[in-house]
Amino acid sequence: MEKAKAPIVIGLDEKSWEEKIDKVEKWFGQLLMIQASFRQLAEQTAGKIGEAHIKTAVLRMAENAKEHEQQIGELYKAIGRDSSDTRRKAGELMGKMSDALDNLQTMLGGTTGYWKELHQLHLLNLNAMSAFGMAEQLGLALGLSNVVDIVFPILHDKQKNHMLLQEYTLEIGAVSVLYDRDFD
Amino acid sequence: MKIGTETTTEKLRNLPTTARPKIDASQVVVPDGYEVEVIVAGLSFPTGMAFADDGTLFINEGGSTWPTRPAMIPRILRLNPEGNLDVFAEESLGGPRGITYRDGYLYVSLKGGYLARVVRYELETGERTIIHGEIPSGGWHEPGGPLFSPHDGLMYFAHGSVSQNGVVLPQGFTVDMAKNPEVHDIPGEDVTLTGNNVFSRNPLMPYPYLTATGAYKPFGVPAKKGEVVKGELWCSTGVWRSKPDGSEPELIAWGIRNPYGMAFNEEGELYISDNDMEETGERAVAMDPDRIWHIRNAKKPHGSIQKPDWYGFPDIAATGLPVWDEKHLPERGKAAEPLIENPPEWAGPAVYLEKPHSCMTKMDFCKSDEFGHRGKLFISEWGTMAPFNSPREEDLSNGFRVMMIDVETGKGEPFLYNRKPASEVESEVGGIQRPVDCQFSPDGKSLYVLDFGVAQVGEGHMMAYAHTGVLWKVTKK
Repeated sequence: MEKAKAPIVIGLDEKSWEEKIDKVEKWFGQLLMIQASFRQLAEQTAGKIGEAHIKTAVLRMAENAKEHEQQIGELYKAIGRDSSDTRRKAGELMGKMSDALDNLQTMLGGTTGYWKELHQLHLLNLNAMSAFGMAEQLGLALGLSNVVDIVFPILHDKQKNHMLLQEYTLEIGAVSVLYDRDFD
Repeated sequence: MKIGTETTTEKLRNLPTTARPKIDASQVVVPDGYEVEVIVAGLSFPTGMAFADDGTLFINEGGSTWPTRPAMIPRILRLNPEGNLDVFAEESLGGPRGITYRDGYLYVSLKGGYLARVVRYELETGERTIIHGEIPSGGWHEPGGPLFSPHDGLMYFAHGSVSQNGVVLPQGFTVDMAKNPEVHDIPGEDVTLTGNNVFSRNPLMPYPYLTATGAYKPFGVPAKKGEVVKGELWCSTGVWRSKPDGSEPELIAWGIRNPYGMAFNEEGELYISDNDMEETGERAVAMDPDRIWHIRNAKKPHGSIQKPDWYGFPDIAATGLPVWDEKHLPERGKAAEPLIENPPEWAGPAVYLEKPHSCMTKMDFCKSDEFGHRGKLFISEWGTMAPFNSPREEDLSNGFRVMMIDVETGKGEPFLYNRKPASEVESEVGGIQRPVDCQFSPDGKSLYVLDFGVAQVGEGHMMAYAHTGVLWKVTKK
């Protein structure tokens, strides 16, 4: 084996790297929009819930969601990019997202009250959890431990959200469907 | 397709990968008279390598490895003697593990799905043929080999257990059980079960009702006392040999938990590395050493093995003691009970015992005077997965080096390791991370060390980072 002329790097030269970082940045943009829609629905849903325990839980979830959304800005910094333009675009797209949510609500005919929002919040949390999970995988795939370090605790929170929302939606869903009413 | 770009040692000290921002050969210690250099950086989950006779080096990037995600593209890279790097072939999800060259063909072991495979590539045409496709897999442990014996010219290969410690348990869901829920171990000869089932929570059930699982059964299926499980040629924990075209396969040994490293010495004796049982879960075993087995049956004529040798898994530790012996009682997890009644005769002892959780992987005998230490076995130690699989403080730094072992005396000494302790390596020191393979070049002058890259282990997680793998070269000055 002849000695190589110089060490070889795979995918770590500036051009290859920046191409990959562009793609990560795009994903972060989608992540921001998905998380913002979750946060917005959590805030709206909390306002409609009468039952004290569920209201408290969803209010806490909305507060955490705001922090998680802010952390996405840190993800941008971790890859050396600026999130301000994406935040502006995400704000513009939020209106379109609300339309999509309305359509989803229509599909849940036959149910009454805040259960619909809670059910949608459950699905949006899964969507956001999956989007953060992908951000983690992208960090792992590019050797970016700073990305993974930011995302890992958020995923833990999202997992807790998932278990809580699954429990509450299944617990109170039958009353919503069968008796056309909510827990107050 | 050519890949990679040339760089400088200076640029290797300032990489964009924050998990491994610096690669610095000066941080790697080898004995006086040897020097270390970086050949390739930015590899993604490299798992094994092999030289062709002309000095071309083939490197496997494993795809879905340890842990199983993210899965990068599983492929075989080719580094020719002029220093050009290209992609020789791409493989399926799960990916290549072991590789060897012989007479114009590359032989590669592959994981992924319920069955592992050995495939053969014709180097000139790239034509791919499946040589063996029935090797039980889809769980915790890895294929070994393939490699060829200088004694009989046959191909030897192996595969580890699908269970972590003898019974398929919920921790398998963190590896492959979500994808392969029916997976279970298969014995290499008829065994009678004790009926000692292991109780655990079933993660697929909403309530913590304890589920019973028996040895050689899928998760949630109990064994009965006195039940006989038939041994099969294509078993778990097996070592086989066949002709190079795959014909006349023969099981020569079984009961080896994770036979990832295989090497022949110049006399044609076969040695296999194996990893210890883990001190965690519902069948936990403490203080089981990593080990190197001598496979005596490899010297016997092809087709003559009436009864394969048994090396102890899942009931005997490398100490020769039962895994339920007081010496092996766990500090964490539930103690093991016997699984096999009247087990076969144990084929140990091991020729070398290493600290638990050193994670010995691939290896090579030095067969040349050029490098020095002819006849010694050089073995990579991937490094501990504690605290994941051991609660013991002393297990936190085991491995992360290349050992030089005398298989005759059972003594070993570190040959290559980091200047700073392993715990500091995770920062920005720049030395070796997790050696997964070491092979001597055909001219006998250099030892190549394949470094898997950064894999961080915590109490509830394990994270491996792509683009952090490195190929190092050690040469006698």
